[in-house]
Formats: sequence, structure tokens, C-alpha cells
Amino acid sequence: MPSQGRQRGAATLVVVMVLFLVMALLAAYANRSLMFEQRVSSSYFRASLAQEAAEGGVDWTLAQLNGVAIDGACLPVDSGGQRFADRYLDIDPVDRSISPKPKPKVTDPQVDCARDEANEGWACRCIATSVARTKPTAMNATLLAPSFSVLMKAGARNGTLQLAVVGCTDSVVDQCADSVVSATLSRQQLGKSRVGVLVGLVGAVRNPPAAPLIAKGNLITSGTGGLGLHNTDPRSAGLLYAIGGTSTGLVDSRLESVPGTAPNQARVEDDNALKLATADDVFKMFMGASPAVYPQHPSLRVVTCGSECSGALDDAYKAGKRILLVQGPLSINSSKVLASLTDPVLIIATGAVTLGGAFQINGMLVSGGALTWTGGGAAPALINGIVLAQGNVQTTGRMDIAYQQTVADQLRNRMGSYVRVPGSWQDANF
Amino acid sequence: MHMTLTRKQQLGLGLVELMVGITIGLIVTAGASMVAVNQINEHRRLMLETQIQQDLRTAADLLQQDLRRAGFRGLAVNGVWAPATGVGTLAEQAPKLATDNPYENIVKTDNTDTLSLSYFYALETNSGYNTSSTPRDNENFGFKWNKGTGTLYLMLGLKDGQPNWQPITDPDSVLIRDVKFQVKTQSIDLGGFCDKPCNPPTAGAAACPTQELRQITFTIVGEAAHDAKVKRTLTGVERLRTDAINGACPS
Repeated sequence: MPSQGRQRGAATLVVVMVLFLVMALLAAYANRSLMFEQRVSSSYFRASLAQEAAEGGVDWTLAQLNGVAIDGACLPVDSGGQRFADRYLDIDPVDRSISPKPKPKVTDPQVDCARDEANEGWACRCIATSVARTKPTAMNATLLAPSFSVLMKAGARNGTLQLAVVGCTDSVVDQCADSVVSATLSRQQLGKSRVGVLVGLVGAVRNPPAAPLIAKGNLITSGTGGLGLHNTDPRSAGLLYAIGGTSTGLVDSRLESVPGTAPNQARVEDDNALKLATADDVFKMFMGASPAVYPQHPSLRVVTCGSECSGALDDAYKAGKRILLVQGPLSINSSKVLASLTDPVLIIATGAVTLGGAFQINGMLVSGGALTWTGGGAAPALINGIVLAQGNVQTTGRMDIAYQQTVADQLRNRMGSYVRVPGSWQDANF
Repeated sequence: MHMTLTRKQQLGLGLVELMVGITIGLIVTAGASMVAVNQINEHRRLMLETQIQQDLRTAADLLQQDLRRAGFRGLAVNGVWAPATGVGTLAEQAPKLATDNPYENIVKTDNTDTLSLSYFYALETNSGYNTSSTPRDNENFGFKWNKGTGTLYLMLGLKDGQPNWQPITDPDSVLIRDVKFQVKTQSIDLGGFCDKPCNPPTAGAAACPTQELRQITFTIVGEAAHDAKVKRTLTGVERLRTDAINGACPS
């Protein structure tokens, strides 16, 4: 055998190799616990991620409930969209009962969102209630793409809504559905978190006035035609106006109350409650919050406009905004029709209001100061709803305010903001 | 010819050869055993560290999950006003009024022996959630640090009127050297929602109701029972999900 000569000293090599092997094994054995630690911390990371996704889902839903009109991808649109609350909820304006719109499968969530890495946000699906929900497609992502789903259920009391949100570390939230057992979740290394929150509706107007016109100051009417006040609703006793001052120049034939009501019974003048209260208190009396606090309504939107505001107000309404705040004076001089009787608008101006033209407003108008109204030409202007002025009201020419019980109900029980109910957060049993 | 040459060289095993082999082998073994001893020591320390880390994490986990639930009242709808229903019909029901949350308080006590935090949350039983204005016995929860023994406890309800403290760390393996709870409260004035004026400057007015947002920062310092040099600190922040509503509008 020719190679035998070169084999000398092989014993040393073998011994050294064996020793190295033993050392490597020992090192690997020691690192076993490190690897375990790494697994533990990655599990913690996933659990926190799922938790944050679920909490984010709750806040996202609240923002949507208080938000503007959206499309099928839950993104705001300027016109032609539908408000999130209108899309998913049936609210009875009479007794404030909130029930989710029926959908093909009761247990299916209405909404699901997944983290969209490319656009740095959530990619959502606001599924129409008329169609059956399908499983979302997986997101294309280099990192973990968490997701959440939202199921809205009726609350146990009128004016409440129960949210059940599931957060998942997979971009397909169905991977974390309640039907998936926890063993499968851990085998697939998925983090899941469930959060239940009760939300309550805070009405836009806490005590809507039961009359077409409320003013803290005087009511002065002049010109031809006169101011028409109409209230044929027996529940409000046909009250036509309540003012803190006195009225001059009212044309009796233009005042229309419930048949059988004496004219004097339908008018309240020199009302102490209005006269003695400050302008802020008059606002609070009806709106339920002081003018300083009221803009905190999450669904309130500020509208900025120049000399003439009806265009900006109309655009805001079309974009799904229903509680509109104008900082400073407000002027309307057009023939636009704002809002509708079944979906009215609340317009609040912090300053004085000047009206003109043959416009029509369906809803409530609040003036932070005086209200000056000049009647338009042939077609008179009309406010279908309520006018609240924290100062004097002065009208010239012909115009009408028609009190509508439906508008008052809508303002009180259907329009408003959704907020978390303290003490309702839970992670089980919902 | 080549073959004969090799055979000649293989004859016997030289003493020098053997000595060199053994020497190299010994040097390598010495090095290897030093590495092995190091490894074993390192491993032991690592295990201790891992153990306290895991013990602390478990404790912090239990605390964090419990704090999230703190204040849950079960029948949260009782905190929401609802208008009258069926007005004008035989089924008319009066407006439902909002009531206080009996679970919202959280109390921190610090004395020479112990530091504790106690809170409540509602549990559902076969008969549903608690409807009374005081939490049931088994709805009392809390977290306690015994400064003397260095042990953490979790309160699982009351037993015969006394807190039922269950240890969640083992003093044989980890000693808790320090625990801190910092309760940060942010108060929001709700006076703007009251019909009648409250708070000064209105002379003689009652205090306005407030909404308290609470956040708890906790720090737990653990030390290995067998090695005082192995020490770990764990810090966490939890915002209580339940905000407390204090006071009421003047009537």
C-alpha cells in the first residue's frame, strides 16, 4: 500500500476532531435556550402587534362612524359616497334604537382591513350589506402585515352599539377567525387579539327646540309678505316662537299653528329663561354643551367659506358631513337646496348670520349672534326645521320657517357622534 | 522498490512519536476543557438570567392583562342614557338613566411592608353580570409586592372578606428587589356639558364632573436567588381602558 507512509500521526487528528465536535455540540446545547428565548420574544412581538391592530381597529371604526361619506374601500369621496354609519346601521330617530343592517351571514364582520405596506396605511373593505362576504386576498408585504376585522352588533340599550374587533398578524384576517382553534394559530405562528367595546351615540342636539324659531333677543319683521312660521305638530303644542325680547310687525295670517290653538298660546315672548340666560347658556340649553365644548363633537366638521357660504355648505353635505361649524359670521345668498328632510343638516355659525335668496335648508340653523334675513324675489326662502339665534332676529320680506318633528327627532337621536362607553372594554365574552 | 521502502519506515512506534502525540493531545484537551468549563458557567448564568427574565415577564404579563380589564363593569350599557320608547303607546317605557360605574376605582397603597394596587373588574356568572352598585367578592383584583420576602402576589377575589393573595413569583428562584407603580391621571373637565353652572368662578357652585384618564407605569426589579449579580429590570406602561367619571352635574 503506497499511502501507508503518509498516515503517521492520524491518531492526533482524530482526537482533535472528536474534541472539536464535542465542543460544538456543547455550544449548540447552550444556545438552545437562547433560541427558545428568541421564540418567546417573537411570540411577544406578534401578540403585541395583534393587540395593537385590534385597538387600532376600534379607533378606526369610531373614526369611520364619525366620519364622512366613503366608497367600498372605506376611503372618503367628495360626492356619491355613503356615510359609514348609514351604510351599516339602521337608527330609529324616534327612540334611538341602533341595529346593524341585516347581511347575508350574521357572524360575518362588516369590515376588514389589512396593513398596506406600499401605501403606508390600512387597505380596507367596507363590504356592502347586500352581498356575501368573501375571504380577503393576502397582502404583498416584506414585513408582517397585520389586519383586523370589525363586527358591529346591536347594544343592549337604545343608542348603543357593540363592536367586536379581531386583530391578526396575518394579512388575511380569516386566519384568526374564531372558528380557528388556538393550536392551529400557534402552529402557524399567528398572533390574535380580540377586543370588545361598546360605543354610545351622543346626539347632535340634546334638547331640540319644540318651535320653528327661538331667539334670545327681539323679533323684528318688516316688508311685504312677512315671516311665516309653521308648526302643526301636536306634540310640540304648535308653539311658533319663543323669544327673550318682544316682537314687532308679525303678520298673523302667516302664522300657522295646530288648529284650535289660540294665537297667544302659540307664542312665547319676554321669556325669562331666554332673557336672563347668557348667549352661551341659551346655546347650551338646546345643544347640550357650551359653545366652547361643542366643537369637540367628533363628527363636527369646520367649514371655511368667504362672503357666500351655501356652495361650501353644499359641498360639505355632499361629502357626508352633517354637523357643520362656521367660525365667525355666515352668509347665505343663493337658491340652493341644502340637505333633505330624511337626512337633515345642522349648521352652526359662531358669529351673526345673514340670509338672502330663495334657498332652502332642511335641518337646523344656529346663529351665534343676530340673524338678518332678507326675503328673496318670487320664490320665498324656506327653512324646514329649526332656527336658533343667540341675538336678535330681523327679517325683511317674505320667508318661511316650518317646524318638522322628523328633523327634531333626527337631530336628537340619529345625528351625532359615537364615543366609547367607559367601562366597556373587554377581551372576552362578547 | 517503493513498497520495500515504506515497510522499512513503519517498523515500531517510537517513544518520541508517542510523547509528541500525547503532548499535543493534552494541550488540546486542556484548551477544550477550559472552553467547556467556560461554556458550562456561561450556560448556568444564562439559565438563571432566562429564568428571572421569564418569571418577571410572566408577572408583568399577568399585571398588564389585569390592568387592561380594570374598571370593566359588565353592564356597560347602564352608563348610557337612553330616551323613552313607545311614547304614547301602552308599551311606553321611561327614559333609562345612566348610573355610576362601581368598578372604576383603582387604589395604590404603600406602607413599610407591602406595596399594592387594587382594582375591580366584572366577571360573568351563570346569572349574568352583577347588577348591584358594589362589586362582588370575586371581582376584587390586585397586585402586591411583599418587600420583606421579595415576592409578588396577585389577588383573586376576596375569601371570607379578606384578599385572596396568590404568589406569582417563587422566592426560591427569583427575589423581587423593587417594584414601582406610577399612576398618572389626566383630568378632563366635563362642566361644559352640565345644564347648571359648576366650578368657580361661579360663586358657591358645586364641582364640575371630570373624566379621569389613567396610565400606569410599572417597574419590577428581579434578582436571581442563587446569584445576586444576576439582576433584571422590567418596565411596562398600560393605559387603563376604563376612564373614571368623577362627580356629577349640579342638580
